[in-house]
Amino acid sequence: MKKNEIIVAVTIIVLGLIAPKVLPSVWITVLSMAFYYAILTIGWNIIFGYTGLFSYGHAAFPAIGGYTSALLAQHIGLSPFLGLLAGAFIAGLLGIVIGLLILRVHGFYLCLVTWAFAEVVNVIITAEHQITGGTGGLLAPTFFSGPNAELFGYFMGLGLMMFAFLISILLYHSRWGLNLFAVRDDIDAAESMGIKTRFWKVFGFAFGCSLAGLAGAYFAHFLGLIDPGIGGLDQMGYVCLIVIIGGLGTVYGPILGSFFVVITKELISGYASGYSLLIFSVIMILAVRFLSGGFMEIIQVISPRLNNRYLKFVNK
Amino acid sequence: MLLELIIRGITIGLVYALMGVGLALLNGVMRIINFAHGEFYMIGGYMAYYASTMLGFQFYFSVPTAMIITFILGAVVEKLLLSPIHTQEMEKPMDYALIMTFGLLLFFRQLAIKVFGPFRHKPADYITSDVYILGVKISGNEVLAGAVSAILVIGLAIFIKKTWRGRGWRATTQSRQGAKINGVDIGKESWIACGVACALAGAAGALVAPIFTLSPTIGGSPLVKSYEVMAIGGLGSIAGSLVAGLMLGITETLGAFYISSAYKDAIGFLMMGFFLLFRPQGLFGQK
Amino acid sequence: MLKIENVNVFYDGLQALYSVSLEIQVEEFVCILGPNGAGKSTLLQTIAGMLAPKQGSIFFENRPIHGLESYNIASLGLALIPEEGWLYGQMSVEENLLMGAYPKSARKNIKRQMDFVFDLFPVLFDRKKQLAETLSGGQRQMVAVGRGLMCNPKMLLLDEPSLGLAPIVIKDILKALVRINKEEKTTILLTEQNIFHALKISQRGYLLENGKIFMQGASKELLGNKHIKKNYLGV
Repeated sequence: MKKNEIIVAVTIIVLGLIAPKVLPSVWITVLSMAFYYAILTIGWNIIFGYTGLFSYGHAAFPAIGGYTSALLAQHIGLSPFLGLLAGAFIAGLLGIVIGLLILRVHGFYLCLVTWAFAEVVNVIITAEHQITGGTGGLLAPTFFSGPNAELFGYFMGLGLMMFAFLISILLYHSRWGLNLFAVRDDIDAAESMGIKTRFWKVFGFAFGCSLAGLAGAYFAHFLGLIDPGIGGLDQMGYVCLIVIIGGLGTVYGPILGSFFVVITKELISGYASGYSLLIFSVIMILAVRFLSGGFMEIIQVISPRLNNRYLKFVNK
Repeated sequence: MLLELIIRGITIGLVYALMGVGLALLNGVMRIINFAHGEFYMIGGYMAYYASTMLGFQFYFSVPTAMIITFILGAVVEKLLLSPIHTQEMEKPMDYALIMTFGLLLFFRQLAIKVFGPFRHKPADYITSDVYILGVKISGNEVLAGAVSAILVIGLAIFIKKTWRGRGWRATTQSRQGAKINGVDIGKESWIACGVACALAGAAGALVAPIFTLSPTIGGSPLVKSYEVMAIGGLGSIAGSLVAGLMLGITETLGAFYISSAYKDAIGFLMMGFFLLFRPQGLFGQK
Repeated sequence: MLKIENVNVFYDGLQALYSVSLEIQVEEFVCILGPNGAGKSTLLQTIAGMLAPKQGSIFFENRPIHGLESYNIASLGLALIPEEGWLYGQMSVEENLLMGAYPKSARKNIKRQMDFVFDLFPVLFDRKKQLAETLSGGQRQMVAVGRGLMCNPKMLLLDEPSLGLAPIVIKDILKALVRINKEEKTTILLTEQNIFHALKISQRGYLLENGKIFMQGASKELLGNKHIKKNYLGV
């Protein structure tokens, strides 16, 4: 881990601890959602940004994790904390299965297969309403009870996000990470260097999926409710948007993007309710058309000097 | 009952095929995945609706109007947003197009909610009388949708097979470099092909508007169907798309009736997943 | 006919051609020799507009063509026959040939050109309905040459047409090239690793080594040249 990554991590933790003291209480929920999206997109960033697999079914995995945990709590009274583990485990397991299946396909087809999977998951969740509650959703116990339940839930989310963040940084700098990058950048070269590309593809995919499952379980137990909307196509849109805006394949990207998107959404909701997705879609189109590097490139365009300092900072 | 289901399946299957061939054309000429394909269907539906309610057009004017507008829209989108793929030689054109067209999907859908309103609209019936096919009563609208879809798909097949431009498109699909040295201006053909594909989607939306009614989110299902058709039929095979569309339409209609309507959409996805994983060349393609 | 002046080309960030200049007269048959990786393909692709030179200029019939898109160059009557063929695998032989006449200016003479191609390569006539991907290597090369001829080109650029083919097939193809040059008065620029054959049928040659023109001269002289004998003909 580099020095600056530690600085960033500590800053986020400090800000995260102060935030509930200084911000009005609505923001606790808003920021908790930002934590959720950050964990979810860190997962997708590992799948697409690190390993280069364009999974279009990422939104299915928080749904799987969330429903797993909520159903276990409902039927066998599993504690939400263990539910997080169960959600991540089941999502990761399914990630391995899908990961093995998609070894057969590349690029375009990979995207379609994962999408098909996500849609089938959504159809099942909606259709099996005796079990899942259908479109009405399913109640899940919250992590804590009492007057400060939400605040504790918030800290829980902060902790989980930092956990996911640290894992993604460690992965980024490790040999494992290098193997993933090799698979992404030049699979033939990686193969000839003796890297087991099939293994690393499945690993990267399942790893990202299990983080998504963790995020989903957190979502369910923080809000106390989960519905099929969590696995919808517009959620996949948010995932893409966040990672694109934050900067694909970078360690800070998902967190920067999540906070930007969730906070902006909250800020504009007062003035232009219902316009947030429209505005985000325009940002997304413009960002892809003109700025493939996300935030970093915006900084570069506005102020090259600042960007150089930023790059120095990141690489120190 | 079975006969009625099959005839309905064929009608809807032809519309699916119409969506699918447009997508396959785009994928071939431009090498992109277009996630906004269903939105052109939605826009086509609304354009036909406004053409018939505000201008009082009959279907034989309102459907072509919808096609012209979606053609222009598709061409403009290609020129403004997608052309960097071939002019700037993007490093990962597929990822670029994926995210771009996904942004367009969200954009058009949200814009439609604001412009057209979130409520359902329904244009007047194109054909008010019913038609009897083999003794089964089918609404005139459905027969019209199926027949016009079939004509358009076959028309496209002939165009692709017989004209210089169509041959150039096929050539581009099979070897971009070959097409370049043979004098195909890929930049120009891309926007034309994109316009045509979008116009076909617009036609599909316009044709089924009186059957399914319109709302801003109707683009999702036809998008999915067109990918299913393309995956089952094989990339770039029009005959494959036609058969795949019919197959999909019939199995879905039968499945919805005999198995469960809640799982109707899963049937197509499972078929698509199966084909992609185990027969990626589609029904008719060679490996 | 074709004049290249001080062309520098980069490929994947590496310089592939260093200040290459050459000139070809009308109806000449010129070959560019050189080992693998000398930059022969790069040179031909640059002329055909598939790669852009960083510096230098290219004139075709006294008209600057560097910076033109490849589809424009095709319609000027300058046809590239690439090493890999770039055929349309799922199209029939006949359709592949028709694509060669894609530029509007070429569409008038289709019948005549196609007859000429079938006269050159009778085997293609028998297989004109067959898909290109089902052909043998030699037949594919014939389709590639035939497709290049379909636009009634003033000049043909051939990139190693003999690569990977059986000796008897090579002979057929080289014979056809001589006929094209003689009967159609088409200027030909040919790159070859197979130096002996190339020098036998051409009038002049250039030797390209490491992206630079190392030597040039009449083919007969080059055949007798010491450097060439020693390094390329193994004498």
